[in-house]
Amino acid sequence: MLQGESLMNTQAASNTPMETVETAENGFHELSDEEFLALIDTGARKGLGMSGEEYLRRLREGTIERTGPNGYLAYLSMLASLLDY
Amino acid sequence: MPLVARTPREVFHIVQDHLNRTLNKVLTHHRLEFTVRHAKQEKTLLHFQDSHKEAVAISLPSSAWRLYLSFGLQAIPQGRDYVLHILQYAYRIQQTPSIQDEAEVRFEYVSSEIDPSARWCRHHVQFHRDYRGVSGDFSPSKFHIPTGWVTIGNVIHFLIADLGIPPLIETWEEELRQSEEQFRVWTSREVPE
Repeated sequence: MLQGESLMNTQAASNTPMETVETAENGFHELSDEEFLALIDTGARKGLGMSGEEYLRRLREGTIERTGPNGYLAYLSMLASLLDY
Repeated sequence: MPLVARTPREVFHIVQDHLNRTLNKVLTHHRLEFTVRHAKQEKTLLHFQDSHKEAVAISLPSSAWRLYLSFGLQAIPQGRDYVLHILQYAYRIQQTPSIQDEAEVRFEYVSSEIDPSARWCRHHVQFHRDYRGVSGDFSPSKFHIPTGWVTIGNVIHFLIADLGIPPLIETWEEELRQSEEQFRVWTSREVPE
């Protein structure tokens, strides 16, 4: 399992530019781990009012739902499943 | 026979092409797109997304209704090939672009791989909390009311037949029937009429 929290912390500490491996071939957006975690962070902040790090921690602890009236719950759950959460 | 292909990406492209062909023939010109990790090619999210790669409920022709479709997909190794497996889906019919806003109706599925501890029905439908005409202690927005496996074809049929979205072609029912038939074969599931 990719450790989302530690990767986010490393990214913030080093302040290095994100690696870019994205392609959009035939509707396929392929993201580096840094870009992928940034997407989760953006979604969690916008949709749930928390950081991506906090979202992944709560998902791991089982204290946040995988579905609900707020569509970001299912959306972020499906993104997190790509991290094997 | 389940959907089998030589690579995970081939599995995902077959599903994407099939669903987009149906959507684009019958309902909308919007297309489902993938988000995938470079380091994890055998899992993906297929959904409607905006130019910033964020989830969005798309507009529908001549209607105030909007639609968001999303699938968590996995390609599982089987011998030298890969087989399609659906981990989670969420279909939302709502009146705003943001999926943060509560949908009027949601069809959802969460597999045991995604949430082993869930005790509610894994296939369920839920309604907006302001749903009228029910008693106070019966909440369609919270109960996981059981349903069968819901396909995109079922949702398109509902949008056209009940919510009055104009189909793009007159033969929409036949297109949906053929699409459903193919999906039934791939997923080895009984598709409700």
